[in-house]
Amino acid sequence: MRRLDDWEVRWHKYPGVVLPEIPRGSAVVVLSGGQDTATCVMWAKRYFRKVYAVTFKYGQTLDLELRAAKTIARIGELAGHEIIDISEVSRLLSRTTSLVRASNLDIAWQGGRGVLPTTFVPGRNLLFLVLGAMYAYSVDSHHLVIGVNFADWVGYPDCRPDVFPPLEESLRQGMEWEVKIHAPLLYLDKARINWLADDLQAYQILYPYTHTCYRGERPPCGTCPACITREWGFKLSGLPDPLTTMGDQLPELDPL
Amino acid sequence: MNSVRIPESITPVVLVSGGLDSLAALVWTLNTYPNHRVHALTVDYGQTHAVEIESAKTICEKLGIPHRTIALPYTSLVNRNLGIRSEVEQWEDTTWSTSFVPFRNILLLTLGLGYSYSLSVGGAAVAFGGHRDDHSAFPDCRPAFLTHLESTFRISLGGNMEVHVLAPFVLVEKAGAIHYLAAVDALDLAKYTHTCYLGIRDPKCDCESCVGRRLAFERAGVRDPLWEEVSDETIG
Repeated sequence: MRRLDDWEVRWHKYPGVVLPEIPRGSAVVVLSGGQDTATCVMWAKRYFRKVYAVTFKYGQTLDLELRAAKTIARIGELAGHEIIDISEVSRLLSRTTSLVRASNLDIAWQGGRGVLPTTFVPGRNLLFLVLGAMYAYSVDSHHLVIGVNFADWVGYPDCRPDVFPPLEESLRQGMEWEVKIHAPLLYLDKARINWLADDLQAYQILYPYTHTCYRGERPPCGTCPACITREWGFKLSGLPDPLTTMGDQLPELDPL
Repeated sequence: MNSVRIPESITPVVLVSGGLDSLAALVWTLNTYPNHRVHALTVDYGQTHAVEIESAKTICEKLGIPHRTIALPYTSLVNRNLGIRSEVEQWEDTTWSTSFVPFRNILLLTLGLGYSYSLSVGGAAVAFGGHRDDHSAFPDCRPAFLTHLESTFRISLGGNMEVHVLAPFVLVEKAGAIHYLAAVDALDLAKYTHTCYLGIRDPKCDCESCVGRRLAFERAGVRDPLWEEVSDETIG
C-alpha cells in the first residue's frame, strides 16, 4: 500500500474514504448543493485529475439548492457542471410520496406506506445513479461519486452499500462499460462528515455555499427536519455552522 | 422471467414504444395477467419520432389501457457528446448496432419498475418487448442483464419485495412475437404500430428497422397489416 497522507491516516478505518490506489482520470460527483455532496467534491478533487458534477432538478428541488450547487461547482473549480431537469420523472414516481409535492413538511415526519418513509421515492436513487452514470459515460469518466451516508440507511434501502456492487454489474452488463461507484461518506454520521470536510478543506472553502433547509431559507429556518438534522450534526462535531454563524459575512449564491 | 405468478396487488407496467415488439408485450401481459390492473408507459427520450408516441397512444386506447408518456432530457445528457452523430460516423462505428441508444433499456426498465412500484403494494413488475434478434446488437436486451437488473432493483427496495422484469419474447425471434400476436388474434393491432427509424411510411423503406420487420413477417408467414391498409387505400 502507498504511503498515506495525514488526513488519510485519520480516516482509513472507515471503508471507502481512503482509496488504496490513486485512480487515474476523472470523476463525476452527484451534487445536490448540501454539505454531504460538497464534501464529496473536495474528496474527489484529492483523487481525480478532473472532477465533473451533475445536479438533478426534480419536483422538490428549490432554486436555492440549484444555486448552491452551481456556486459550489464554480468555487470548487470543477471541469463541468450539468443541471438535469427530471421533474417529469419524479411526478411519475411520486404517487407514494409526499416530499416531491413540496409544501407539506409535516408528512415527512410520519411513516409512509409499509416500512418505508414517505420521503422514499421508489427507484429514485437508482435512477440518479443511472443518470449520473450516463453523464459519466458522456464525459468519458469511469468513476461516479455520491454523497449517501449513514443517516440515509434507515429509511432508504437504495442508499445502502449492498446496492452499489449489483448496480455496477448491471451497468457493466447492459452497457459493456465499466463504472465504479464511490460513496466515501457511506459509513460516516453527520458529525464525522463535518470532520472529514474539515480535513478536506470543504468545510472552509465550500460550506458557506451549501444549502440544506427544506423551506428554502438562507440563512436557514432552523425548524424544518433538514435544518434540525444539520444543526444536530454540527453540535455533535463541535464545529460552528458557517450558515448560522457568519451573519452578514455570508456570501451570496450565484444566480441561476 | 416468463409468465411468473405475480400477486394481484402489483400493477405491471408495460413499456410501450409504439412498435411491434412492445405491442406484443402489451398483449401478452394483458392475456397472462387478466386480473391485474395493467398500465402502459411511454418514454419520450428525444430521438423518437412523434409518430411513435402517437402510435403508442392509439394502441393503448384500442386496448383500453391507462397510458402515460413522460419526457426525459435524454438528449441533453448523452447525445450532446456522442449521440447525434452524422450517419457516416454511425456506419463506421461497428462496436454497436447503429441504432443502439446508450443506457436506454437500463433507464426505461428502472423507470418502469419505479412507476409500477408507485402503483403497487409489495413490489413491482415491468414488461418489455425485447427479443432474441436484439441480443447481439443490444447488450441491454440480453436475459442475463434483465435478470441482473431485476435483482439490483429488488435489493434497492430492501430485498424483500417482489420484483419482476417480464420479457416474454426474450428467447424467441421477432417472428415469434408476430406468431404470438397472430395466435391470440391480435395481429390486427399491428396496423397502428410504427417501426421506421426514418419516421416515414413506405413499404419498401430500407432502414434497419423496416428491413427487420419485413423479414420477421416473412419468417412468420403472415402479411403485415400495416401495408394491407396502405394497398387498400391505393386500390380504393
